[in-house]
Amino acid sequence: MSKNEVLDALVVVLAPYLGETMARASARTHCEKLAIQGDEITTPQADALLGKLSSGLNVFIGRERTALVLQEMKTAVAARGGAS
Amino acid sequence: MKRLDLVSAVAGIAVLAALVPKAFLPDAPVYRDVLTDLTLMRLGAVAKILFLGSATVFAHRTASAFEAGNPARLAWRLLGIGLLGFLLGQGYLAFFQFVLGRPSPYPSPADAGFIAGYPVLLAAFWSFIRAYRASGLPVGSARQHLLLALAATLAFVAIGAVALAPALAASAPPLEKALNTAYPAFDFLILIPLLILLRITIAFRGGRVWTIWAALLAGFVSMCAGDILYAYFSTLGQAWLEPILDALFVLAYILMAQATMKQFEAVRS
Repeated sequence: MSKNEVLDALVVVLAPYLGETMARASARTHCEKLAIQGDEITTPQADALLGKLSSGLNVFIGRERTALVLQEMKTAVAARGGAS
Repeated sequence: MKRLDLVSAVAGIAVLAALVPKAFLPDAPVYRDVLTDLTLMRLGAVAKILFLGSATVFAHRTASAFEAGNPARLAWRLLGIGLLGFLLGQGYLAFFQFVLGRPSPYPSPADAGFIAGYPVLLAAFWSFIRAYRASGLPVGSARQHLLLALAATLAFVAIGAVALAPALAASAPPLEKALNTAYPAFDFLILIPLLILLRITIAFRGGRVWTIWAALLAGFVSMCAGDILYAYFSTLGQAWLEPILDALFVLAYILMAQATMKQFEAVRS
């Protein structure tokens, strides 16, 4: 999968909660922390990224709402060729 | 929830519209015949209780909506407890203002509620900072937050020296003097974590997190401004400013109510 396409899709899902700037910064920061380099992202890497983003979101909107957002993120990633 | 949100916003704006012009047009016919001093005092008392009560209830409901173990749960709970102290204090004042129709005494047992609420609010705000830093989102490092806290402390010490000078120099009874100093001092202490929270949450602009925190921070800044200006101007005998100060507290509680309602709505799935 294209990393940029996945990140763009995640930003669309996260922006209503975190704002576009923080959504993009969070996705990029976690990519760096998870050593997701290059232009491609594998399914396990995308899953790890989703895990990190949802655990951060959890502090702001709680577990139940985060579970819904996580599902949306998984759907968005799956639409770009990743596993859901 | 959205309807309650809208109704409270409209009601709040109406109260502010009644209070603020009084400072500039005290002799206008409307303030002589309709919105008399007694009416405005009662209106302000009811508005404060309603909005502060809403903020307290929704802060606790938000805390309960977060799952056990979530660091934000403790922070929202502490905020709710701190606001409860304020609500008890405000309730005592409202009894005099609304039921007895006369200004509340100062100092009074209400001050115990307010003063007890401050340390809990401080603990709440530092808990929010800790929780948000632990989220793993890029909200700034501990070092950046520490530097900001140090800079704010220096600035507030300088401002506080000026703002508190009239209260310290006034020939008031010891308890009144102590309270006139304690309120602004606590406010300055609260503004330090609030500035860090502003630094954290401004990065969320455009999202719901920012909407919530912009309202909450503006609410507490408005409250602190009311306290500090009251301490400064009351000792200088500037009574004409009272409607503005009253409006600042009403505005503060409206914003807190709006913020806690929005946060509860965001957590509730």
